[in-house]
Amino acid sequence: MNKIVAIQQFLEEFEGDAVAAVKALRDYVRHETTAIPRRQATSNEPVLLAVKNVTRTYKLGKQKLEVLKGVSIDIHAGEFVAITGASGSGKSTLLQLMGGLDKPTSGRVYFGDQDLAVLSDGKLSEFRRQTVGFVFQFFYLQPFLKLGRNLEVPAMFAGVRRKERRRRMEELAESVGLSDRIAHLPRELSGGQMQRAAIARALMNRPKILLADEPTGNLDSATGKAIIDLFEMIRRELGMTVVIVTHDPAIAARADREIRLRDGALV
Amino acid sequence: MIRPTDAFILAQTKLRTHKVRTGLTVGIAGILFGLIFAVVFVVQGVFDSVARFDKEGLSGRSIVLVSQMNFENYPVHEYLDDVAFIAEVEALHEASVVKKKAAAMKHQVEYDATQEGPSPVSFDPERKKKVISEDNIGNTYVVAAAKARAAKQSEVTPFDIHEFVRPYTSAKVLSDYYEAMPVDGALTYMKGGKEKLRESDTDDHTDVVRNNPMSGPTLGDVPPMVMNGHVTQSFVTSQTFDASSGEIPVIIPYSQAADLLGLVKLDKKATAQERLDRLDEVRRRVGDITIDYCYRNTASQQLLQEALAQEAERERLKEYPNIDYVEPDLQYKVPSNTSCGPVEVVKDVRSVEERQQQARQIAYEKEIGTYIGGPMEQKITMRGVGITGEMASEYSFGAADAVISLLGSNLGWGALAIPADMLRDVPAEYRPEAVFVDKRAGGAPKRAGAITLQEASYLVEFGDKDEARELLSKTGALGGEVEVAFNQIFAMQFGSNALLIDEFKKIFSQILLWTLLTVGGIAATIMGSMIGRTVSEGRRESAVFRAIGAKRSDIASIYGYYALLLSMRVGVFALVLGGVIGFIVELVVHQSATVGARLAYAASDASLEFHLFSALSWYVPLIIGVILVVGMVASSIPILRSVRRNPITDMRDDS
Repeated sequence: MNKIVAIQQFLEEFEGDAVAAVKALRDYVRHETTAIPRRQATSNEPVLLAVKNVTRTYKLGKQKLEVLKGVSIDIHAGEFVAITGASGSGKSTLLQLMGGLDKPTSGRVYFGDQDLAVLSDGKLSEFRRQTVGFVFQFFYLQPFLKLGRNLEVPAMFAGVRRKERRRRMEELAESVGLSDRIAHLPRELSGGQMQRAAIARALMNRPKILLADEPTGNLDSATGKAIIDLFEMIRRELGMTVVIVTHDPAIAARADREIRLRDGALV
Repeated sequence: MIRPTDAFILAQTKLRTHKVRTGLTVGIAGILFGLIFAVVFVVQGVFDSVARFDKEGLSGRSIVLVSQMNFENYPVHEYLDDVAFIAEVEALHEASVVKKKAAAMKHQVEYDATQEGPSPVSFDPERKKKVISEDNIGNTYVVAAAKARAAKQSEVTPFDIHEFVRPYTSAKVLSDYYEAMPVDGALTYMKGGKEKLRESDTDDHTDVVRNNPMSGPTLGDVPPMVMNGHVTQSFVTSQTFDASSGEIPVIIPYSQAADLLGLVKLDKKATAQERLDRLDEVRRRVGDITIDYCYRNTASQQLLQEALAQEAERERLKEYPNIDYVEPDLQYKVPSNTSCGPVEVVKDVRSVEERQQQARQIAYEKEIGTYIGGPMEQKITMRGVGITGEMASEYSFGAADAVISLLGSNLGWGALAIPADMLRDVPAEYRPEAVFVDKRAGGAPKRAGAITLQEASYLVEFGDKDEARELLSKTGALGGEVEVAFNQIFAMQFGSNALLIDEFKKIFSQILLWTLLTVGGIAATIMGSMIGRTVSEGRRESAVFRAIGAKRSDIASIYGYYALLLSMRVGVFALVLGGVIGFIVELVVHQSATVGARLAYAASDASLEFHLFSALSWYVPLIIGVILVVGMVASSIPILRSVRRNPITDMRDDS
């Protein structure tokens, strides 16, 4: 009986988006029954992203704030990694450094053989566009663009032609269950729908790595769980590397590996 | 790199989301530029119309009327206390009296001291010396002595128009520009073909076209002007004029011509079409107009006065038969008032002695230089050969008035104009030299008074407008510094305001430039602040774009298109607004302006239209360019500032 109530509640989260709900529910049920075993050993896969002894210092007036203090991490291809830690532990900064949004004060971030620190602003933009998919806590969909156009934006910056862009957008919208929401503005969508759209947008240019900063932080637990399911599915079906910053231990528990930060250092 | 079409799509979507802000910006900036467009459209329309009408009249030509207004200045007052001067005057007077007395003795006539008048020099008992009183400063001898003295003190060089215009290589002095005004006697207008002889004759000589005080001088007021044929040719429309008929060809100011044709004055409310029809009618019928003038020299005038006095005496006798009346020995008859004929002697019962006495008197007068000659009179008939426009008249109204005063192409100011070339074809006996002579050749006629005004006017045509402008500005006719000494030379454009319009065109460009800069500045501030706000509000959007792979140049390109689109909207709105305003002006004013222009030019091409709207101006693309530049410049600063920002900070700030 409890399960039925739980399912009902789950469905309500999708606010009438039946296709999405059924898809999510199917995944949910599937995961309930066949939980993926946590992969501990990933060393046989090549290192995709390597953070080498990275520090990041911010200047706040005359004060220096050392957010990261010599962090080194290797992320292997196809890995699902969770970065956890309390607020202000430096996990978001670490994610931004990994995604080429920011540059370390010292140390190096390698993507494959490429040292991100030596890239120009333009090259770094290109790197973010081609290689990284970002997902944010507050979704950051462009409020003045309809959903379809929001998904297309990364492809626009990549100079992809309209037809191809549209085909990809429709495919992605379909895969995240938002086909019938393409013509809607973000404010007409629920939180869950917006985050799914944001994920679809992140996948637009077929990145090699998906970086998500508290992707469920602004969602209730059921919707958040569905979003994590979606990440798992993407990793599984597309073989994509996924790094999620979270402070939710439940999510961390579903990752292959959990990297804990405290005061800017690995625990 | 984002494709231009995609940047355009994103920019356009953004523009649509800020409807109120975009609307306000487009509205305010658009109204500012729209007003400029309206002015450009209307002014260009006027310029184009002026160019069309330029072929009419004198508008396309640069003719300058140069007048030498030399006040012959001899400071009588300075001399009055001078003992030597007083002695000079006295000597002159005495010499004259001596000369007259000698002549009187020689010709056996009586010297009449009363006609001579007393000496202007008198003895002041209070000051105990000889003086010339203020009342006598106009006295012939005082003036003569003062002139002689002034001439000694300063060399007076006569004005030479050819010398004056020598620096201007394109200038050509046109011959023949003088008043048909006899030096001796008078040329009087015969209203209705009648000479006004008696007081009882209807005194309406001056009200021929006096219906409107604005209509300028009337036929009776100003003498006809003889003008160079190159100046008058475009006004001559009559094909039927025959010089051998002995009539003097004359170009008549339009409203005077209408009156002479006896046309009923048009009502103030008359339509534009009625006014144009009237113009056509006057032009068509101008050849039917004849105007009579009567020329009498001083002797003829005196004789006529004598005849009239005798006639009056006879009339008085009829009324009062008992009065003392001595019939004169020599009796005259007043000529018919339509003839301008000589005064005939009807009875001469003078004795031989009386006749000899008169002959001696004439000989005496000839010797002392006071003989006025024998009587001479001639009727001069003029025939209309064309009409000229006028500065402003009863026929102008509203916008037409403005057009007329702006463009007025005319021959002088209400005077009849006689084409000199056509005049020369008239047999000599019909154009007496006493009337039709260029008096400038022998110096300007001198007028009485302590200070004599010497005046001579010349028409100078310039091939180069700039030279004409230079001369006009030197004499102050275009405003500004006057380089030529005051009261020496006056110059003004003759026949039209083409040079002033030309000047206005130049000034207009400057005004427009400054207005564009000012309005552009204001619009740039408005657009800049609007774009600045949009860009700064869109910081997070830009940051997200950057996070998902946009280059700085991509962001700049999106906002660049945004600014471009906004500017284009401003431009289109301004063009439409300016067009609508200009079109309304055209609708409201076009008809009356056409009437005004045709009247002003007395255009021979009756199909010419005066439009007040034209978009064919270089200023149109210029202003559009300015709008686009303003938009781009206004947006560049906020855009540059925005793309330099750190996307991480911007994403964090707004969340």
